[in-house]
Amino acid sequence: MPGSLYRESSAIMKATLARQMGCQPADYESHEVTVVERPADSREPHLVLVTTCGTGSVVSVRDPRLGDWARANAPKPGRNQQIFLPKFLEGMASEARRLGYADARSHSSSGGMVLAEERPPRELPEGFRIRELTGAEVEALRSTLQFDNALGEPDETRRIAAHRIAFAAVDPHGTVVAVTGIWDQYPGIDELGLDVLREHRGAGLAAALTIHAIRWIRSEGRWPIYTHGFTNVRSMNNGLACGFRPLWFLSAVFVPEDMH
Amino acid sequence: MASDYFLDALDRYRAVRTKELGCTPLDFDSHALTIAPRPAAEASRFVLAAFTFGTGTVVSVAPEYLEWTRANAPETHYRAMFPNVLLGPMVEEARARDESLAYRSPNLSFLPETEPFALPIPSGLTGTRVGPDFRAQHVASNTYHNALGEPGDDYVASLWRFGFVLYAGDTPAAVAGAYHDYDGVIEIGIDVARSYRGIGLARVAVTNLARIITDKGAVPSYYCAPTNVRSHRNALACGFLPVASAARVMRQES
Repeated sequence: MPGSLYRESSAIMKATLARQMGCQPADYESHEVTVVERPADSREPHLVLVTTCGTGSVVSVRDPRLGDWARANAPKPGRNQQIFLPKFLEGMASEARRLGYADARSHSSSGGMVLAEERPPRELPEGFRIRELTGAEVEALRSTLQFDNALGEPDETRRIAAHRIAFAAVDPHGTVVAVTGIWDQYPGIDELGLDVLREHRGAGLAAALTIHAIRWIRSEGRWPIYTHGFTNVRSMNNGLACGFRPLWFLSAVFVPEDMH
Repeated sequence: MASDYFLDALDRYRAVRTKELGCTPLDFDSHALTIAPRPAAEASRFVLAAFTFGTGTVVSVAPEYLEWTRANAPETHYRAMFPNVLLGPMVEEARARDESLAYRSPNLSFLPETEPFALPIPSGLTGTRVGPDFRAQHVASNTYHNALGEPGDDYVASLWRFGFVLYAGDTPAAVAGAYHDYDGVIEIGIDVARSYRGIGLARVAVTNLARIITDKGAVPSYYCAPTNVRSHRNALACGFLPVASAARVMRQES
């Protein structure tokens, strides 16, 4: 059974997600497809976002004409999760291109987790330590593209603007071998990203950094979220090992230039 | 730390998937895409199976689509799991060849984190193992389609082995079904009747069936669509961990 922390964090995230999409939290419990227009103050830049918390599904559009298409092409009642299939998403992207969004395309799906249990700090391998990265270090490491999940890529200006802090695991020689970056994803909610250099995987650095990031976010009075590619089992298990539990699933249709 | 039980179950699961896919165990850890000719015994129903444990992706393909798959494979291994990258285009390619294929979107595969133990039966309910008679009696209702399969699906019927039912009086409140998954691996499907949801019966039924499967010397497996967040959470609550993701392209009868 879910604990009190999961209930609290999932309620906050579900309400925030609904606010960002332009729907009501109850729409996620409806067993139907709800089509809504994205509020003007939403932080989400995608042309279309398709989300579910496991029962109802929500299609949030920036352009009302895409909402009309979604309503006309929505799956039958009880089959609402079929909106995550390519038939719907590719159809929506095709419709967006027809409407003038020249490079519109669908994005692979991702899962999202909220905190269900607060875990104590993990010990690092002997000689390793975690330290905060300076702004200059973040910029330099970002340009290497080795830590793009944690720090974003150099042309991701939107993501970089939301960056709050980054921590690195360094080896006994002081070399950065793993990084977690934290950014202001939604009001009151921080997302964390993580990269461990391949030759240092399996040593527990991912969990140590993730828990360090969670504790920092909580110390700021904010809520952490963790997202992963839908087939990325290792990332999923890192989230679970650090106290997260699944809450939502998301797919998108986007125009690349809107994302930067 | 992973338990000895989990590591052993994972080894067994990887071994059977290696056999099904026609690859080597190292292919799963290659951080690359491996395209393997699909063993003849496996290619009659599924033309393509794509499988990843997260550190490399194996695509097992029937001979007649090998060349096409190699020509259309993505550079990044896990993109082979994205429905619009390989699975959908293969269905289109089949149409051009006047064949009928359909794909199944990628799922999530789970194994027990530790040796399964059966949760106690809640007071007021009874729990019992059931066989084909129970399935024959209830499959037509389609109320327990995860646990029993859908009526008329002969393929799924051929895989069904046994089940575990929680009864409230004479009513099956929760039904867990066991299906042949692969040699030494038995899959669990679960349904809870709508009026009995939200009181933890899925956990009780799944863990009792997982224990029965374990006592038979097999490894219990559990699958769900990644969009099915509730089923995902149920798997975790039953002591299972995600280990892999699989997608398939199957032949359709004309």
